[in-house]
Amino acid sequence: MIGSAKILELKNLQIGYTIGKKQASALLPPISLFVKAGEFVAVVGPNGAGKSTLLRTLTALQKPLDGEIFLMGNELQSYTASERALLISIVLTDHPDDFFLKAEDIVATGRYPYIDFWARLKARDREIIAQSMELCGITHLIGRTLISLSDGERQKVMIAKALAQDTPIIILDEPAAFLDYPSKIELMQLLRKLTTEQGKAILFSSHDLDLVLRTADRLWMISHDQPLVDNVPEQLVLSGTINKYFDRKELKYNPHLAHFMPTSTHGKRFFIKSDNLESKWVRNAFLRKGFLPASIDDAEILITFADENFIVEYSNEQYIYKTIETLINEIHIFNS
Amino acid sequence: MEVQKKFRRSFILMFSSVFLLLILFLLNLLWGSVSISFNDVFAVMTGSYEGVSSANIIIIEQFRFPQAVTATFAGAGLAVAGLLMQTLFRNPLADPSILGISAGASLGVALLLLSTGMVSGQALISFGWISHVGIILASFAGAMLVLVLITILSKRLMNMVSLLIAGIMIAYVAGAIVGIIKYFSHKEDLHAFVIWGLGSFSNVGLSQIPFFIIAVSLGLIASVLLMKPLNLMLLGEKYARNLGLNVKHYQTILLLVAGFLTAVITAYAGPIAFIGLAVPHLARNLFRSSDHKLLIPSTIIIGAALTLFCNLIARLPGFEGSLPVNSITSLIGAPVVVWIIIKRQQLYSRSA
Repeated sequence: MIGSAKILELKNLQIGYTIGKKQASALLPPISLFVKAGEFVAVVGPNGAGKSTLLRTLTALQKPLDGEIFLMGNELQSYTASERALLISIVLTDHPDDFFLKAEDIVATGRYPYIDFWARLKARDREIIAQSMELCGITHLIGRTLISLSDGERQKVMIAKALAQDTPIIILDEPAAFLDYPSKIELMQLLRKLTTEQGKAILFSSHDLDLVLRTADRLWMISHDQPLVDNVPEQLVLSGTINKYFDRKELKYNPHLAHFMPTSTHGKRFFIKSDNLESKWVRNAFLRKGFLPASIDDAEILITFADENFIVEYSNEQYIYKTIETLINEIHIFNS
Repeated sequence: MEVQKKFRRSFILMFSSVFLLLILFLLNLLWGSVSISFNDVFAVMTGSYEGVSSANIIIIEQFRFPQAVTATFAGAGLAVAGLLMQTLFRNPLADPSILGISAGASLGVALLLLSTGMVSGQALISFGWISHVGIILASFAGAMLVLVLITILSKRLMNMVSLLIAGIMIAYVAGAIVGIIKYFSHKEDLHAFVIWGLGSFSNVGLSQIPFFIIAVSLGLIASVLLMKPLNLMLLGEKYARNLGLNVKHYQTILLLVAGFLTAVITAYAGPIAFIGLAVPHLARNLFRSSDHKLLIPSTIIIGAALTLFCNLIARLPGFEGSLPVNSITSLIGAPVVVWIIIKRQQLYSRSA
């Protein structure tokens, strides 16, 4: 039913700021791409690369320097503000801070583009507000003020507002930035659900690469002055694009481990011979203590977990530990 | 169920506020340096005048009634102007005087006092009723001048915080110029200026009441029409824009409405402190809401009621004449604001 309708399309879009009257400073090379219904797209890149500027431009909060943005087939700037309110909804990093604003008041504002001059909610609007809160799992927050909520709950209230606005696309700026890890995952699951169940296109920015690689359908990778790369997360990892875009001398993305690793070359090399859950976490311990993973031939330290024991072979000696804790407490021995 | 209970609570509160307002209005007619019986007041108000002494008729018609009406509308207007400012700047400490509009009014009055002194060599108050109308016009002109300046600035300044700072600076500059003018003024004019600065609701004679009521009502009606945009502005500029609101446009409208109300009221009653700051907080705390559909009417009613109460205190029986209204509103308003802040903190720590 949803098919391949292009919700948002960018043609040679240039984003950035105008300095003074004439001088324009573009943040990125021109961008051409599109978002379809039901897609879950993450804009990812280091801080300051232009994620927020891109999202602000796409939501018409800021004018593009050049190029075109098409929303549902028509140019973004050709819509009036109230027409646009029916097509794009946003969730931002800063939240309303009025003392008495309640969760349901915020969600109700999502209906404001639809209701009359006196802001009277009809039965249909109340129904949509209730459904949106239900879908976001915040029905129990009715009557609570926004400022009394946790960051995760507050974020869900703002998403429920965007849902009540009933737009084909929702754009979120760093929705997971201030959340603890379980809340991040929970939030991503909620957004994913909205794309699959409601057919919404969702575009969000994040600087959390681990998170977007685990959750998004597609990534738009940006970095200072580099062209935007648009691809599925797995392809970006396998082609090495991630390292190119998150360029840090002392850090590299390790596709085997699926996270960033220090590139330092000092530190003893280790290899884990066994393959079980304990072995995985022994590796974690060695990595965080600054040891370097290596092949069996290269390694100076060999580790095995067998018969409920951790066995470490190092400079022709064998060390045996009953628990991972005792091993870690003596881990410095192997670095001398 | 919950919604119904909340609705009933708001309804009862609103009803009691209106009732309180009517009682206070009546008390303003009854009480004063001379106590007048309810029967007399009732007779004069209904136009029968039966058995009322001519002195009492004059007191009610020429003094107490105009004063009570002025206090009612001044209170309602200032309170609503404060609410608009607080929502516009999303700042709980904003009030009608924050943009220097009252300071502009002071400057207007001070300039008038000095210029008449310089041109005619006489004190302004020696001109009788002309001085009275002159002060109203000068005050209004000064306030509107600052308002126009602020509106122009608001188009150039990117954000509301910059505008707030600019407004406070305008107030300082106006205050400094007033200081210089006071230094060179006649003793009598200086006295007249000090009296004006203390605020009074007895400056509006019966003949001027219609102008005052119409001007303030225009501002009140405009505020009622702005309920939807005000609710959206609470979310912050970006959310409001995304929800289809032309934010820049409405920021200017809010400035003009709040500024106009302040200018009119300051012109007629002098600078009245704390009503604009305290009443919106009272309304929010009573109704436990930030919805302007509730806040606009309740702020109007509570603003009128509190101001009538202050006026009553200022004229408590036993005092010769009356106390300065501005002092009474400050004495009552400032503790109210502190109380609200303390209560708010309790509320916050309980819900957090």
